[in-house]
Amino acid sequence: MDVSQYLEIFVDETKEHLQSLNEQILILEKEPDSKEPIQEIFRAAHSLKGMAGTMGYKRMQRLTHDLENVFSEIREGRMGVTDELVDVLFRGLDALEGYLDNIINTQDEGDNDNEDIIQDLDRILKAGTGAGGAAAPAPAKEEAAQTATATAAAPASADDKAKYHNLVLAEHEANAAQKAIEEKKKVFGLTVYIQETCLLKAARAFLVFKALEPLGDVIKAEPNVQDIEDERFDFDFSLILVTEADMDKVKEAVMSVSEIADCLIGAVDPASHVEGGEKKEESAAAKPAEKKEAPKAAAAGGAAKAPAKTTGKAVVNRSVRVDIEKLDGLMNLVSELIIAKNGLVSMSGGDNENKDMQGFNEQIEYLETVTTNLHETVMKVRMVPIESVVNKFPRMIRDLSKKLDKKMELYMTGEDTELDRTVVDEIGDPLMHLLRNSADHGLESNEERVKLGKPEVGSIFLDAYQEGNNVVIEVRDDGAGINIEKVKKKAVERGMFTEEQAEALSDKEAIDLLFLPSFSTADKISDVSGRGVGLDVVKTNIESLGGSIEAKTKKGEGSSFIVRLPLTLAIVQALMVELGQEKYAIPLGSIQTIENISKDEIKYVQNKEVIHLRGNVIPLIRLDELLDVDRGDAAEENLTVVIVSKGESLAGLVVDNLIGQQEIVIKSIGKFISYSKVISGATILGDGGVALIIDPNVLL
Amino acid sequence: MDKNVVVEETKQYIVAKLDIEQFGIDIGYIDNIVRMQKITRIPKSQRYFKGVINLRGEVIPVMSLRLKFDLDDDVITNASRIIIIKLENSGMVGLIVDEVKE
Repeated sequence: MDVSQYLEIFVDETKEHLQSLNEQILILEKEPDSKEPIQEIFRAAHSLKGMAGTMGYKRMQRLTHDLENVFSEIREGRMGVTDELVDVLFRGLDALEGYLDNIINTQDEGDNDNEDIIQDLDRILKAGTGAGGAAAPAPAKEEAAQTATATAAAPASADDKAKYHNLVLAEHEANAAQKAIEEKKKVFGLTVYIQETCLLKAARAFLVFKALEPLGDVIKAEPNVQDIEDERFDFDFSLILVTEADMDKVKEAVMSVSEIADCLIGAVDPASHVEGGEKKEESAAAKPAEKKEAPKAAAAGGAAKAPAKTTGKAVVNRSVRVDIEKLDGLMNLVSELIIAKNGLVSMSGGDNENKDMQGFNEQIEYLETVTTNLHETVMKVRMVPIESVVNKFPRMIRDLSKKLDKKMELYMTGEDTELDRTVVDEIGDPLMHLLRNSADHGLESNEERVKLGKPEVGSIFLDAYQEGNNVVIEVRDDGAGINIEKVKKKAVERGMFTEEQAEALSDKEAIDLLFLPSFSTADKISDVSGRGVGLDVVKTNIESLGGSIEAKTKKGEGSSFIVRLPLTLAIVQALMVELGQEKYAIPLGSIQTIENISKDEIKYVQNKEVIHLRGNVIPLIRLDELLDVDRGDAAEENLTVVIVSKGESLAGLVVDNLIGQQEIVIKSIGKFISYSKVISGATILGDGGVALIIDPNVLL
Repeated sequence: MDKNVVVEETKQYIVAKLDIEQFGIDIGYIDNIVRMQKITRIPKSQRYFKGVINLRGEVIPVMSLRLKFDLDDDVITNASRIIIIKLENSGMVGLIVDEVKE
C-alpha cells in the first residue's frame, strides 16, 4: 500500500500530537495525580501508534505502543507517576521527535531502536505493577551517567545501592552458605562500585576478587565471574562471600584496591535469597532487564542521543491551519472584487463618456476598499499565534533548570498574540537564545538568591503584546541584572576603549556593547551559552525581520530584553519623493516632519551640515550624493528636508520634491545585485515603474 | 557489421546576438523575453547590473551582458530585448541582448 501521499498529513498530525504530549507531560510532572493529562496523553499516544503503524514505521509504532501500555496502567490506577517515569517519558518523546525528523528529511524513520528507552519503560511497567517495593534502581543511575539530558535519576535509596540483596542463590549455593553458617562462618553480601572513570574495569574487579581470596570463598557473583572477567558489567557487581573475617576487614580489603568507588557490605541470610522467595519474582524479572540494559545502556545511551536532533524541513511541504471563518471572509471579498471589476468593465464599455466619469470614480473607490479589505484578510490568514513557537519553551526551561541545577520557572503571557507566519518561524531561535541567557547568566544560583532575600526559584517572564503597528515580545528575568562595570571592563580589555572612554559611556551604550560579535562577559563557556556568539546573531536575526531589540537592566533586580517586530511585513505607508529624475520611497513610520529650509540656515559642525530646528541640532544627509543621483544643478535657495527619527536620534534627508503619500508593496531586490545598505527594497508604482525604498534606520 | 546507434540529444536553444557574436541559451532556463523597458537604477551596484525592472509584479534585476563580457556598453535599439532567465532556487535575472534571432 502506497502511503507516501499521506506523508504530509502524517507529519502534521504527528507534530501536533507530540506537541500535545509535551505539554501534557509537563503538566503531569507538576500535578502527578490529575486525570486529564493522563487521558490526553493516552489518546495522543494511541493515535500516534495507529498512524505510525499505518505508515509502516515499525520502530515508532513499537515505542508508542510501550508508552501507551504504561499509560494504560496509569489510567487504570494501577500505577503511579514518578519522577523517574516522567524522565523516561520525556526521553521517549525526544526519541519520537527524532524519528519524525528523520522522516521529514528522508521519509524513513531511521535505524535507532531506542532499545534503552523501551527497556526502561518495560522495567517501570513491571516495577510499577509488581507487588510493590524492590524496584530496580541502578539502571536509571547508569543512564543518567550516559545520556546528555540530565535525567535526574530516581533518588536511589540506601537500600537500592546494596544490590547484593537481590542476589538469588541456587539451591546448591544456598546449601553451601547454610553449611558455612553452621560452621560458624559468616555470610556477607557485597556490592562493589567501581569508579566511573576507571578504564580497566575487569582488571579492577579481578583485583577485588584476588583481595577477597585469602579471606574466604565467593559463592555467588552477579554478574557471574565469567561475565565480570569479560567486562560485561557496568560499574558494579555484587557477590556473596563466605568468610571467617569481620565485615570491616572485608570492606577494607575491597577498598584497598584502587579505583574502587564504594563497597556496600552486609550480612545476609541465605535463606531469604533462595529461589521461591517472594522477592525473587521482582529481582529475577528486574535482573535480566538490568543485565541486558547495563551493556546496552552504555553503548546505546550515547548513540541514541546523537542522531536525534537533526534539523530539517527538507522534503515535506509545510502547511498552515486557517480558520474557516477567515476563508469565508476571503471568498466574500474575492466575489466583491469580481463585482467591482465588472463595474469597471461596464464603465469603460459605456456609451456616455462624460457622465460616466463620476461612476468611474465611484467604482475606483469601491475597488480600493475591496482590495484593502482583501489585503487585510489575507494578512490575517498569514498571521499565526506565537503560541506554536513559544510552547516549546516551558520544556526547554525545565531541561535547563535540571542541567544548570538552578530552580527556575517560566511565566508566559500573550501566547495568542499573532505574527506573520514567516516571522514566527524565524523568531523561535532568537527568543530561545534570550531565554537561555537569562537562565544561565541572569539568574543567580539558588543559594545566592536566598542569601539576597530573593525567592529561591528564579523567574523568567515572556510577555507578548501588540503595540501600535508592532508586536512586542519581552524576555525578563528577576536575576542579578547586567553587570555594567564588567561589560565596560571587558571592552577596555579588548582594546575597544580606553578607561576614560569606558567611564564616559552611558549605561545604555554599555549594554549595547553586548550585542557586538564575540562579546561575552562569561568567564567560562558552557554549552548553554557564553561563547559570545549569541546576542549578535539574535540582533541580526531580529533586524532582518524588520524588527529591533533593546536591553534594559537594573542591578540586582534583573534584566529585560525587548524585541519589537512589525506586524505587517510587506505593505507599508510611504512618502514618495523625487531625487533628480528618480523616485524614492521613505517609510512613513520613520518620518517625523517635513521642513522647508533656506540655504542660509545650514550650519556646519565638524565639517558636516546641520540645521538647528526647534532646539535640536539635526545632521543633514544629502541623499543625492549618497545615492549617486544625477541632479544637474545644485544651487537652490530652499531645501526640502524630511526629518526622520529612530528612537531618540534625528536626521534630515534632503530631497528635491515631494510627490505624496502612498501605500506601497515592498518587494525584495533579490540576491544578485549588491546594493547600498540605504536601500531596503523596491516597490512597483502605479505606472509600472520601479521605485527604490530608502531605509532611514541605516542612516541614523 | 554492427549498426551503431547514435543517440542524439537535441536541445533547444534561443539564439541571441551581442555585438557581432551570437550566443545560445538553453531554453530550459528561459522564462520570458520582453522588450526593453524602463530600468530603475540601483545605486552602488555592480557595474554590469543596469538596475531592476517590473515584470508582472515582480522586481527583477537586469544585467548587461555586454558589460559583463567586457564589451562596449549597450546601444538600445528597437531590436533590443531582455531575456529573463530563471535559475533553480535563486530567482530570476534579466539579460540585455541586442537582438534575439530564434
